[in-house]
Amino acid sequence: MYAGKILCVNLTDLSFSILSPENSIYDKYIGGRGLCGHLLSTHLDSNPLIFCNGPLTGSGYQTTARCAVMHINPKTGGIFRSDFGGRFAAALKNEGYDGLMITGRAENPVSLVIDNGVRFGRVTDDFAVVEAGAHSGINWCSILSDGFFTTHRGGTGTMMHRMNLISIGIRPAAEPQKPDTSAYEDIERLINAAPSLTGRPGIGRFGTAALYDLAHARNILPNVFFNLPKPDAHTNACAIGETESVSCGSCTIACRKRKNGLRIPEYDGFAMLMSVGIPFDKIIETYNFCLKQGIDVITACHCIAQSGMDAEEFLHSIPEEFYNGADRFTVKGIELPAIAPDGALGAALGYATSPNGADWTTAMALTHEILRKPVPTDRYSVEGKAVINIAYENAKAAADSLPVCRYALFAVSLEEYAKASGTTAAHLADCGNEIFMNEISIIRRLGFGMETDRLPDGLLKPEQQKAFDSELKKYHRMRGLI
Amino acid sequence: MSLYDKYINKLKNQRLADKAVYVVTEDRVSVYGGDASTELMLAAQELKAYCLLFVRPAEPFMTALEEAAKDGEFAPNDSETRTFLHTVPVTDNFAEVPSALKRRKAVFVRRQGIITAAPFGAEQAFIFASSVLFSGFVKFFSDTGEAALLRNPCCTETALKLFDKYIENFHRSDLPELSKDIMRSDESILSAMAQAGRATVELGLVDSFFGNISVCKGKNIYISRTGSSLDELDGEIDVCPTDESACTGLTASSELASHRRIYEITDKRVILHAHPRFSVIMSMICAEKCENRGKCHYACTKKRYVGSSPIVPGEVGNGPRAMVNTLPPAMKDNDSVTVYGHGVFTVSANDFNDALRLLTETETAALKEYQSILLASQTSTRSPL
Repeated sequence: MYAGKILCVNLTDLSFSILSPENSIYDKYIGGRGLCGHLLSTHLDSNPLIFCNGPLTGSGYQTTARCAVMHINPKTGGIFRSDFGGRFAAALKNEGYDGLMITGRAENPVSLVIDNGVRFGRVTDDFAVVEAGAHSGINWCSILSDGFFTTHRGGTGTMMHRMNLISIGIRPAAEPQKPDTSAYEDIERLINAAPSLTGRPGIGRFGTAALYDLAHARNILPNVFFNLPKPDAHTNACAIGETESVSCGSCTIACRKRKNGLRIPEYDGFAMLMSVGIPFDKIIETYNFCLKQGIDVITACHCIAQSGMDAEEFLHSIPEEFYNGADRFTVKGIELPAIAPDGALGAALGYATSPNGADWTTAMALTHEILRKPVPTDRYSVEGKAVINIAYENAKAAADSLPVCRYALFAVSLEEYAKASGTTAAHLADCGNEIFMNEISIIRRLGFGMETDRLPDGLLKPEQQKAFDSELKKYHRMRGLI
Repeated sequence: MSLYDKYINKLKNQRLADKAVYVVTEDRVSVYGGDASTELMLAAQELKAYCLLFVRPAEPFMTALEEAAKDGEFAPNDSETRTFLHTVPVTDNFAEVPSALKRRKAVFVRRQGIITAAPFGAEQAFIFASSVLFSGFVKFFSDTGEAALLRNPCCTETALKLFDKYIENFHRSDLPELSKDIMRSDESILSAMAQAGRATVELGLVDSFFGNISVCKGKNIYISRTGSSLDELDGEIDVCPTDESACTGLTASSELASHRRIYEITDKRVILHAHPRFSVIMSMICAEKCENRGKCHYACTKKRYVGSSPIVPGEVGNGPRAMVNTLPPAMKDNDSVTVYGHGVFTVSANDFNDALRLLTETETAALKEYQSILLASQTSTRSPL
């Protein structure tokens, strides 16, 4: 379940050491995102780059191959947390580590290799790998894992460039067997029962870009806040045609898609590129160019909309004035994702209160406001969303720490994953609360006060804004922040 | 009317509950539906749950639940419980409610009622409570019926009394006349679906959050959304293109794949799916000892029927064990098919009249068959005078 060790690498003197967290740290922070937060909080002054797996990594349970990453966001000075799929998390666990914490700066560009020990040198081709995107100028450069998986926003690639760290390679672990347990069956039954996951029009078949049709029909695509023409309804995920599924590992949904060797964009990337006017037949090519370059598509599309430049021209020669991203539609310096706030007010509240900045993956309101799970809620009403968002923020924080993929939460609750990890849903939710509040504490130390929990002006209608402000206050009261 | 009052009224109007009280904790505590006991308030305080719902089931549900809970925590074999509730913890003591609700969605307190905790509020708490009402009822009657069939009867007298009470309070066969010529326009289709959904709930053939309904016209399937109530379908229908040119079906019923396949292989254009209680119960009663015992819900190979409605195995949604593999082929030759532990699907050619009639006939047949099983067992075990 746990390896009990964190590998700490100092690039300045190319040394490494081992941290052995107390059991109480694992009890409180679980692993993954929670453990990342604990390490970041404890070593904040060293500006570390942290990757952590969790207790379910390598267990074979569905969607548990995610690797958590956390660091100070080089673009905003705030916190950045995310996760990515692929072999990296399981490989790190297989080498005997729950986490990898990197500090310092190498004198010359290096690659870190973890293979029955630690060395600096060439990464073997078949290793699980994390590499920085090629664009070293922008402060929002992403990473690429196993040449396919990525994190959105946050500048993890920028961190690696600044550390003179080209890549990290780990000898891969064998794919785990699926567990023969009732918990596995319970989870699988829920995944199979969810139309949004494994249904014929679901993300298991069309990738998360399948969400484009709902966003289009509900008028919540980014063109709404960019004030650009609404893209065509018919140039959607179905129009891409049949694709090849790529599993993050231990996943029976397999929502990552590939066609002719190229990755199909996820929902945010697809909706953003369509909204800023990239022609449909150029979407996949453009997205894959961005992947290799480490150009975060959401940030880039905000810059394109703000600059008024031709999209292709912008992406191939990003003007220096946009090296720190756009600044019109941001929360805590992070650009809004691809769901317009005025058509999903729980999501909007989640943007404002996420320690990460504008981010729908923290409060996950998309799940109930758009996908109607576990029950539908009124997307035009913010009333009552504070308490729901808090419950989801805590559940998501716990899920990220086990780790479990955000898309599994479209159907599966903590109750089923608690059974898989030998605890209760309530205990996981309590841990999730600790994990979330630790991140709040970190952003406070980084200078982001409660006044930064706000949406950009003018996105909500006046009557929406009034209700929003009232619910935001309620949120702060319930979180014990005022 | 608040959502809390809406669902309290639903529970009472559908004669499912004698009492229903919500305790809602945001930055202050509110109570809806009457007085909350001190024990309930303490449980809410300890759990810090957003929304707690206490339901005292009406008869015959209360006694059925007491019987189902006789041996403690129970795990009914019906599809809804298997998929969403897993098990229902049981306690005699309110003090144990918080620990039960920390691991499960609902708990049954003997001689008191059902308590559910829901992070998403009124509607979710209502769904959990009505699921427990359904599953406890189904468990008691299916266990009792199967015991009778195996000539090892228990609780037969209680079951017969509850059965009579159920017939008296719930069974209706007075079919309303539903709209005809429904394929004229989008509006006429949507309106006919809403009407048929309401009638299905009013006839007691489904609790409002279960079931689904669809119409196929041209290149579109009109289908109720996941999480919709059959008696409140206005604005709750998704239009899914059969050529799969859009993913709007992401929010459609979990059974979209089965509906789609049925339309592909039959000439029917209307599907109605409900969870009539005794059809579900009869689908689960089987006296045969076979190698698939315990896996009946996905692996049963026996030819069995509720009335003239064949019973097929199959789980919700998609995947190798899903009913999409078993239900549509069975519907090629039958206009009513019952899915093990789940419910009944009926089809008709042009409107919902035949589909609703078939649903009612299947449930009536199930009630008759159930009663005859109990009566036969009672006769055979009665001591000779």
